Amino acid sequence: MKLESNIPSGPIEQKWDKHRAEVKLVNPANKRKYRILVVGSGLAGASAAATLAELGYNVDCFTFHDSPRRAHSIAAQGGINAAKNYQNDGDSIFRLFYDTVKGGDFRAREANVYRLAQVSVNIIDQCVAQGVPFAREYGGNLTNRSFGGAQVSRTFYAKGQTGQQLLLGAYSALSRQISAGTVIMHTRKEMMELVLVDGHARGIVTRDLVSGNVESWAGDAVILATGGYSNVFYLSTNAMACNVTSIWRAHKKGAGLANPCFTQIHPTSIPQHGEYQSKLTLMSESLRNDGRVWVPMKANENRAPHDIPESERDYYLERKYPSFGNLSPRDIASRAAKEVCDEGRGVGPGGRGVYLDFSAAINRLGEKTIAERYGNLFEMYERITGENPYKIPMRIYPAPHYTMGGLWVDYNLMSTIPGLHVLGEANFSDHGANRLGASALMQGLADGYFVIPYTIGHYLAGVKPGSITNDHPEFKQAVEDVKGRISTFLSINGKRTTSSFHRELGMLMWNNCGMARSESSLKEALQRIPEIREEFWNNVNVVGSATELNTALEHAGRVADFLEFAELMCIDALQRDESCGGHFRTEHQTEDGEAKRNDEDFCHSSVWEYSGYTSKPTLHKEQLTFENVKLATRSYK
Amino acid sequence: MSSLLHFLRSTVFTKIVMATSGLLIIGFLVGHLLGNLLMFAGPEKINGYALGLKNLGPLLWVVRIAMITAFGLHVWSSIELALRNRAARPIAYDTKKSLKSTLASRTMLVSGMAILFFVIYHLLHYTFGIIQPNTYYAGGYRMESTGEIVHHVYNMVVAGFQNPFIALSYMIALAFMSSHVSHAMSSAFQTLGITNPNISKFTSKLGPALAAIFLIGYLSIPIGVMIGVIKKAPPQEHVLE
Amino acid sequence: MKLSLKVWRQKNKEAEGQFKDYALSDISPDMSFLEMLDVLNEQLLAKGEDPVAFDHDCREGICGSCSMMINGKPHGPESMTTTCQLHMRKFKDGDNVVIEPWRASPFPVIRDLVVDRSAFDRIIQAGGFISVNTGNAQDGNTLPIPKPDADSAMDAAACIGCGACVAACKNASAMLFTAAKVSHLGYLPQGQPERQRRVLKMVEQMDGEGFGNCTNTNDCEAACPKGISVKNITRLNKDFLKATIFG
Repeated sequence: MKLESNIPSGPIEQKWDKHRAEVKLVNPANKRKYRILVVGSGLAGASAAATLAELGYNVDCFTFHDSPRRAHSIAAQGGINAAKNYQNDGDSIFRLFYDTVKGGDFRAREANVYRLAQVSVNIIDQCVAQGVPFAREYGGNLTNRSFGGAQVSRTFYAKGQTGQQLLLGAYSALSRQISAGTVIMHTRKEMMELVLVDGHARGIVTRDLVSGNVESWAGDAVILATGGYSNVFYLSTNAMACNVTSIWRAHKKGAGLANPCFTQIHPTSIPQHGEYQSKLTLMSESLRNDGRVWVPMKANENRAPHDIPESERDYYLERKYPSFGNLSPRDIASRAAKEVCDEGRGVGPGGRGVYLDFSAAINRLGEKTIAERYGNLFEMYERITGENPYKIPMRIYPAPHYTMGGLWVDYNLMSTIPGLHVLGEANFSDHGANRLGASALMQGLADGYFVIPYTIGHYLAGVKPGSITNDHPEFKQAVEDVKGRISTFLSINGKRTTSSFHRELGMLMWNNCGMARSESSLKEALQRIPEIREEFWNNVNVVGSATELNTALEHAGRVADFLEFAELMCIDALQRDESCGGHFRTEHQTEDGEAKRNDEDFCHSSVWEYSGYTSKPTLHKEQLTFENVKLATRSYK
Repeated sequence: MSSLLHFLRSTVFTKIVMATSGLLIIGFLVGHLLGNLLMFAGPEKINGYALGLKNLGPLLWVVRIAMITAFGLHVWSSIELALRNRAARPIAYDTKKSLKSTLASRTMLVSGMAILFFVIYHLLHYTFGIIQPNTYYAGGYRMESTGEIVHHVYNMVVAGFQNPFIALSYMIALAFMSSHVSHAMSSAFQTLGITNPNISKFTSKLGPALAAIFLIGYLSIPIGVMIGVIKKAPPQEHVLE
Repeated sequence: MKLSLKVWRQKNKEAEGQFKDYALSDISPDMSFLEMLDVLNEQLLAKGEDPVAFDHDCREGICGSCSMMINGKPHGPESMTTTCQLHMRKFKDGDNVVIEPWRASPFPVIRDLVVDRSAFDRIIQAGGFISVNTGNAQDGNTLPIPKPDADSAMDAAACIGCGACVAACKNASAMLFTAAKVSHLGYLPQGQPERQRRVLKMVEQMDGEGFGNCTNTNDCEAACPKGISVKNITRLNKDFLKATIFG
């Protein structure tokens, strides 16, 4: 496996312009001869499919949902960053770039991040033109809020439903192309396998979730925009169906998987309330703008929150990080919460929770203003917990939320498999070891609207269009493989349900490879995972048949891939013998418990090459160089 | 042109037909009520009013044809829409609860059909004199002002409502009508796209208010007859009984 | 708590469906309604029976996947709430719960509680967009939009496309869904160039899908988990009339 990042030469401000001037083009008349397969219809997938179709390519877009509008991008609440500097508060493309690199704890590729900051401004314009109803001032101009990890207000938002509105914007653009016939939309079809012909990605195999039909599709290039793998933890803020299958299948076919251990734990989720719990619900990070985080000073406190006097409360974020306070980055806020709970100062059932208190803000601004800003979030909290956050402080706890790791891509967003492009959360590119709030939406749309439309042409220009059809033996073979796998699931007839395995794996990963990891915890996990996997393949019970809508079968396929992927995640976490961003190795911390990086040995992206079911994957390193940002210890004090 | 074609084929068009024809009928009902209330002013007034209507000549026919058309379109659009609605939900729910809809709004088809039957009945009764021929042809009335002999509408109505079954049938029909009207007004304005919040605040109350006015106004006549506030006019000389 | 469930079971689109009764015990009031169904499904799987299929995904009330009639009300007894956000504390020990799929001919049942809502996508495809190619946009602040208009557009745009409006409507009408999109884009200056074309196309598609029509009973508004107002229907009607007279 060769890692060629294809970063253009020259000063960072000029790289993208230079690259756009130099990449090969496909002329308009030829574009319609190419067919591009886009898997996923979230922000990255829908925006890419729509934009490529606008350019004249033929696009097939696949989603396992009943509609492209259901992708999990829809659940993003808080906002989207852009270096517009509408607030005149000193923002700039460089500052957004700098904040993102620093927020990612210096484990992202500079050139990609700079490009992201550059196109961020175009995203806002594009979305406004599509009719995304961003929040506005009375004068009619766009308004901003501030977000964790930044000292400027650069986050655009649409109430607490920014992801929904951006996705509906991309979905409307996609719908327009579907009605124009340039995009063929395939709903309720799950990608099961990637098909390579002569080393190039040339198609996919899908299972129709209603009929159970296994079909193959050929194209001139494949784009994966299938999101992240937080559900490896079982409980996460991701939607129930989010999974690792498509990127894991691509990895097994030769695509390098980078930094799988870089996962983000979001600090403000509603704490778990019981064994039966199926998912965790996020409360937007924007709440930290007006909410103050605290726990009681003393351990095992039994008093109700309002009976605890000010002097006995510990506003630990404000205390430890005076300049960023409640707005310190996600990894730091999460770990701080874990720390105080580990000290026995956590609140609520099970002691895994901290207060997020709005009483000061309500006194200062009035309940009405707070309701305007966060009304829907407060309602959601009350629906779930039965407690009124206007009166009683919210209880929050960190939860797995986003995965920075993913398939390795070069500057053109192409993986190590020629023709296979990866966008959005599914790739590893822009967030390093930690993602800042309101940057996921930015990256998904940047990749889809403004990067891939340019860079895919560079690949396609060297491909003869339509040269491969799904009659090719590789396609036949892939279909047979998928069918074989499905019948294996159905023939195990064991005793345990898929969910019980998923829960067991998730618990193991959360305890051993979650907010804090150590050599011993990881080694323990690496011993347990193959055992669980072994039992899964011998003792899982998948009911029903292959030729019908079978939710049990769908879940089994996804969990089987998580069981393989989890091992790689732990291997990566073990290999990265340093702490950085969301990857916190307890062996490597400063005296006051902060992550301690080791730039000498680990200033690289770890890219793993699959080498078989039983053999250890091969590590490749992409060295990271920082020419525009000084490598420094992150400090939010 | 193509947009006009769209318009004519669409359900929204059918609803606009329903709304405008319904509003016309409501307009007629207001006029009809004002005329009917002349029963309280005695035979001279109401019989004179009836004569006045008759003397309108061709204009009366214009009004009649307009009303027949409005009624016809109202019935046509309701059939059209009802058939579509039935096809849209071929399998009923096992359990279905209504949320904020009023009973009146959910039973427009029932109340509408009741009104249709009533209108036919009403026409047969007081316009064509088929239901109670003996009271219809109850003799003439000599106008005190002109001496002209006219149809004795007043006595006909009194005689009709003195029959408790007839009075009761009218009361039931009026209940359906007011129920229909109470939803009709706001529905019509919503269908016609009246978005001005001040107007729609007014129109949302207009329906129930009109329904109440119609109910009280129209009911007052049979009740007036039954409790004896409206009595049969004394026989006039020179008029053959 | 204990519950008696009566759930619609249907193997596929063509098959006949019927209700089946299930008894559940040890249900925690802190569970969400879907977690309660998860418990049922785990029990069914343990017995080797087919689990109850239902659409769900985000479980935080925004993706619009979940769609079931619970005791005669779309998404159950709590207003402004999707099924996934409904919690069992809204039920009492020993309650009978009837669970049915949305019923409308444009929403055919695929299996159990899963219905095909692609008719909604086709309504959007007919015109629920602004025709602007990527890269065409001018600066986001070039067109100031009065805050009340932006807020109204947002309120209409909050629709999650779940179909509760159709499910609740006695006529199975999709007017609230269609109107929400027409209104969202109609409030914004960007939406004006295609405003007339959009409403005509979308209404044509809506009719073509076989939805019933609106008799303004307003049950849709009460059923909508996002509280989309029927005022949007009035706006659609107005736009439709205008488009016909002036278009």
